[in-house]
Amino acid sequence: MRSPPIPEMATQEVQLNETLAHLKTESDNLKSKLEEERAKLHDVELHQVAEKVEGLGQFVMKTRRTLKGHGNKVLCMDWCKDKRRIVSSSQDGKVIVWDAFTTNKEHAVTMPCTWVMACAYAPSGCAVACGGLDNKCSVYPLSLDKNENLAAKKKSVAMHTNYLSACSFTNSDMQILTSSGDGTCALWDVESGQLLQSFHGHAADVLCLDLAPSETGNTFVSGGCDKKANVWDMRSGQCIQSFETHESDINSVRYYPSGDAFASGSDDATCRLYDLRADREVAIYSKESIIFGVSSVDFSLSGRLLFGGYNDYTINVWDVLKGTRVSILFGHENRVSTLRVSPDGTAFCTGSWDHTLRIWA
Amino acid sequence: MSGSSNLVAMKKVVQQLRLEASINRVKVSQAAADLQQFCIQNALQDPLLTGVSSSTNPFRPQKAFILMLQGKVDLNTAPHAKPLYCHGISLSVEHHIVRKITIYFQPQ
Repeated sequence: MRSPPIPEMATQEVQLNETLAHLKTESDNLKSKLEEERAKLHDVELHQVAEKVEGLGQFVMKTRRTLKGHGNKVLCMDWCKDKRRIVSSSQDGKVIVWDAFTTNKEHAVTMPCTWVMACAYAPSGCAVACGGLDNKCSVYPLSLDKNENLAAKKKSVAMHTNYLSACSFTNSDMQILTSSGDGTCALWDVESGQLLQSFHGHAADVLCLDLAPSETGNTFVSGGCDKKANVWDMRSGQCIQSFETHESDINSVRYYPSGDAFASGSDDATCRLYDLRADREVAIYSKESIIFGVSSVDFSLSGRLLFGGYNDYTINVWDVLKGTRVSILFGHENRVSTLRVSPDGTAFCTGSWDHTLRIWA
Repeated sequence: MSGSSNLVAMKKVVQQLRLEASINRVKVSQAAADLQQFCIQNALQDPLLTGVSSSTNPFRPQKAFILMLQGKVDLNTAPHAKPLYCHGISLSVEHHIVRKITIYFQPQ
């Protein structure tokens, strides 16, 4: 039973409640103002602007290589800048480096945890980063000596309080950006393991991130279980723009090659395009027949094509400008969990719960 | 007191919204035109879009080239193998594509 409040405390509480109510009103007003401002500039749809653009012909894309060797679901993959090597990670704790031209395995590491949900290749091609249920991101330098035990040289860089969902090196091998089930993203110095900046703002697990193309400056975008996609300033830690139009978890985000927009893929079975300068969603890529979630998205080099890997085992290829689907690709025997276009745009790679990776061209 | 931490959280939300409301925006027509322009300008350099032929896309040809080793050499064995001397490399080229590379070794 609470004792009756002392008069001074009562007045303090009243003042607190008044200020809170005042702030709530201001917050609601700002939210409607934001919607109003965004709506004012919504003078046309992207596909209307693109009406005069020539339509795309038939696409013939097939599986050109199948990479077999993982013992369980493939969860993530990344290309090396040399356009031929690939690193992939799996539920069974294995991280494998492949030569995609020959399909040979060049390195293999066994992580101390299962569900390695994130992996990334260093820009130099000399190291890979990975992590998952261990809540960490570790960097493994790749040795030319096949006999050397890679696990011995492992360096623990990031520490989160929940699973690691994604990681990416920045412009150099020296810094890594991570996202986590603990709701935050963080920037780390690889050499010292020091936390350089943390990014708070998501209200639930952060599932994905992508760095802006280097010409456009120090920002990155993240997507989470709170259905929001946030754009962050890497130096200040500030969230500069936020988009909330998806109806479910955002599993993947990827910048448009010019850096002025980004695409997202969600459990709501749609992919969406958000333009950063118009500060709003400008296209939705969906069909009534597509009811399974999108796990991963990536653009072709010119940004005209958007590839989406889906939980119904297929890959849908979208015309970004016209909003229509140009192709549907079959081949995997289970969910497509990860998809990346190669650095020179000649092919894209998908990883699946069917234990394999496929290269398409 | 939970009241004051609610206040702090609320102040942050309002601050963030003020920041987001204040940014400069362009019309969708302008933004869309720029996106389209970028696509068109880069269309020819997009191999997946233009569908590059087998001779230029490294993934399209199905055959990998074969490396031929002359003589009784197994380069995969052991750390104590004798040092080898490479005394020649030959490339066999057909229609501008390298079909075979032969590297000649002899013990030093």
